[in-house]
Amino acid sequence: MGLPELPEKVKEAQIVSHFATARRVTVRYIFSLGCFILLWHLTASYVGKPNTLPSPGVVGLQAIEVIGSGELLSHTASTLRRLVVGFAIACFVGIPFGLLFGLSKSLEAYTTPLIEALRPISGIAWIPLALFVLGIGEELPHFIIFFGALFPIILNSADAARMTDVNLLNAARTLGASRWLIMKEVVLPSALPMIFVGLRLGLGVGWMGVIASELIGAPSGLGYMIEWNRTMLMSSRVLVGVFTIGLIGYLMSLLLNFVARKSTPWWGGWSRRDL
Amino acid sequence: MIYKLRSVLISQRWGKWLKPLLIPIVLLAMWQAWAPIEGSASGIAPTPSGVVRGFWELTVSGELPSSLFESLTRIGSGFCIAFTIGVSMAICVWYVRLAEYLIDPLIETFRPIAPIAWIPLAILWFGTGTWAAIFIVSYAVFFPVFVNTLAGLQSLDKRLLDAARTLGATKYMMIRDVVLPGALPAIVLGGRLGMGAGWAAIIAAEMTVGSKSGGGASGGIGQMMFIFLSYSLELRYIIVGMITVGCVAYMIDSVFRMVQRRISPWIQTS
Amino acid sequence: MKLVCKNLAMTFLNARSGDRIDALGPVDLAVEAGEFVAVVGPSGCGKSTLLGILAGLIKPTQGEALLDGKLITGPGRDRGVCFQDYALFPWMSVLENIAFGLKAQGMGKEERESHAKQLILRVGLVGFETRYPHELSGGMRQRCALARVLAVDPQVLLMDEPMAALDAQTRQLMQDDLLNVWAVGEQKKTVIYITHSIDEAVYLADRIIVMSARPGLIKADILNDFDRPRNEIRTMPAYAEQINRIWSLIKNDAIQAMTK
Repeated sequence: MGLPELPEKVKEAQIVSHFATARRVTVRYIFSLGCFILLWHLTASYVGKPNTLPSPGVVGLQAIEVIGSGELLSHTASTLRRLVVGFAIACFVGIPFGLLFGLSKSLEAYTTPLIEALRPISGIAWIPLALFVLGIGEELPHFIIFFGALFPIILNSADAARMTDVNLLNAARTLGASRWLIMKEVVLPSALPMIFVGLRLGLGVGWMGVIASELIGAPSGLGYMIEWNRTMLMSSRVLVGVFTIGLIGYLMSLLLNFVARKSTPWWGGWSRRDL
Repeated sequence: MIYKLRSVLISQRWGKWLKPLLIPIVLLAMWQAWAPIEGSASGIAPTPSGVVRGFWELTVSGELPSSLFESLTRIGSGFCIAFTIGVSMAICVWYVRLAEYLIDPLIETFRPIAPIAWIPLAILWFGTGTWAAIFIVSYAVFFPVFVNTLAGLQSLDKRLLDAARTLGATKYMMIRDVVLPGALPAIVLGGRLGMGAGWAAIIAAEMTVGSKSGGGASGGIGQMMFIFLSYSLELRYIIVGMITVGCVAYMIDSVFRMVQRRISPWIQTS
Repeated sequence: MKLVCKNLAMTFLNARSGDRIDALGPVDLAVEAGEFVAVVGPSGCGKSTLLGILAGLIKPTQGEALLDGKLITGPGRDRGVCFQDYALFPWMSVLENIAFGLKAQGMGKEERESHAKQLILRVGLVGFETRYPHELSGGMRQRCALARVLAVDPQVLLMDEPMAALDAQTRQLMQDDLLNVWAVGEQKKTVIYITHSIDEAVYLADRIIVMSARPGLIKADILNDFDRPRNEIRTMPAYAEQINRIWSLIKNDAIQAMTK
């Protein structure tokens, strides 16, 4: 039946209907962000402390400087390099282990307590210990990323394997497929969407982990950049770094989603808001 | 001997209990044995027994409870602030279309920026004290709460709203007896995810502060761990901190899960 | 005249694609107080839309619907609605669900609980007062939904395929229950009953409205005045003839709807 009637003033209704079509979504974004930047500018002028709250204009200028000098690019590259390494290891270890974990009841029985005990200790909590053992270097972020991303990947892969449709498995067996073939042609493809969900979660955790480890103990990278600029009281550059962190994180999710969609064209579960 | 063990595990009834404990016991035994070997060289390797002793020592000295209390107070305050703001904003965005158009893009822009990235700015604005930590926690808690509350409101069965209206419900009754109870499971889920994010954020924030200002006012578990790293090299204390962090995270999650189950017995919790 | 529809029509507009769907109309209808009117028709003929307009949940794009001569502008207690999936509040017990409408009227807790208990007795749900909807069977949920609507004592009952989700045996029993509940009381309620099932319409109603496929127009308005009580009519040949008569009116439209 009908939708609940909500009271709307006439003017608001006019504005609303003006924004209603899907094509206007970008306009909405621009309008909303524009209002925000305006508000920011007004607040910054009112507060008047450029070292604490820089105005949007200053931040923009600093952004151009930092990009132009190549500094932003090199920091971003360092961070991404570490992320890729740590995340790749987590994938290579986590996905196979997770699948086996989901399929084998005995493996699950043996290793569940270990996993459940280690999982709540967030990757970040390992930093002090890892800092001592590994020192400041590339291994630290690798380890933190690996550890943070590992658990979502394992658990989601396990769930994915466990949820393979029994009917499909039976169909494959009655058609004479070997166990190996079933794993490759039935379990793995059917598990892919959920594995990608695990990858997305793991990537998010890993991204946080690399920034955190750089904040605390690294000589380069985005985390290092924002911390160093803070000590220099260059808050405008700090903001540039912060927004870059957000942007890169967002772009990575988009990329991962794109890869996910392309590798599972048969799955109807992807929605626009899968970010 | 391994085959004998295996047959015991499979056949005996108490073998069922032994299975999950097997690997942890073996690992702990290996760790305990390895440490003195390694430790004699560097003299500081922690052992499981050392960790247990560490727990005792830190609890007795009061450092562990006070740090824990500090961290918990911070996350508690941050949670209350962010939860209130998050739920109210979600109701607002759901109810008023214009609010959705204004606020939604902002939410989507800031959500990918991890709370940790704001730590330097928070320190710049609020100093290295409690308020910076509360700010970070609130930021971390806000997004899951907002997103989940909004999703809960949007997925309310429209027919339930219709039914309430045909029964003559007043606007106040609609919100109190239909909208809020209906969205409550999602709100609690948002709270659970928010607390998880908030706890990770507070530890990170405290650690960062601890690594910079080193010492000073008591700064919660995160800072405690870092102080031990920088000043005393008592690794077992660090491990005590880590285990505490893990336990608290687990307990917070369990409490919320329990609330979830009690509130919505008609829904399965994962 | 209790309920009147004058030149009623509804066109749905899809804001994004610009498609227009002529769901209903134009429709002219007049229903007397105490009449039990069934509305049958192929899928998509606008039956639910008509009910939605009468309930005040949908605003028609053309024409008007009147109750006792007054324009229907929104939902209200005077027109009770039984929804297809019962729409029981999952977080409220049976008793609380039934008492909801009374709570909306500002009745005190004890008073509305005793009222609700009377209704529980009437629909046969004694012993289940504290149960939650997810613990009830389909038939019990149906009865709870009915009790909830009756609690506010509406003059008109609008029912949107209330028995569709029940199995055939429960449905037969529930139909008798419904008639018993309807026939009790000084004033019989006016009922508009939407259904896909022609034999259900013939069993229950005084009058059967047959609608055509989209856009929904009234194809026929058939008198169905078998004597009441109707427990035995399923065995009468006149019953089968009536069903066939109506089915032949719908058949072509139904085939069209299936292949469209």
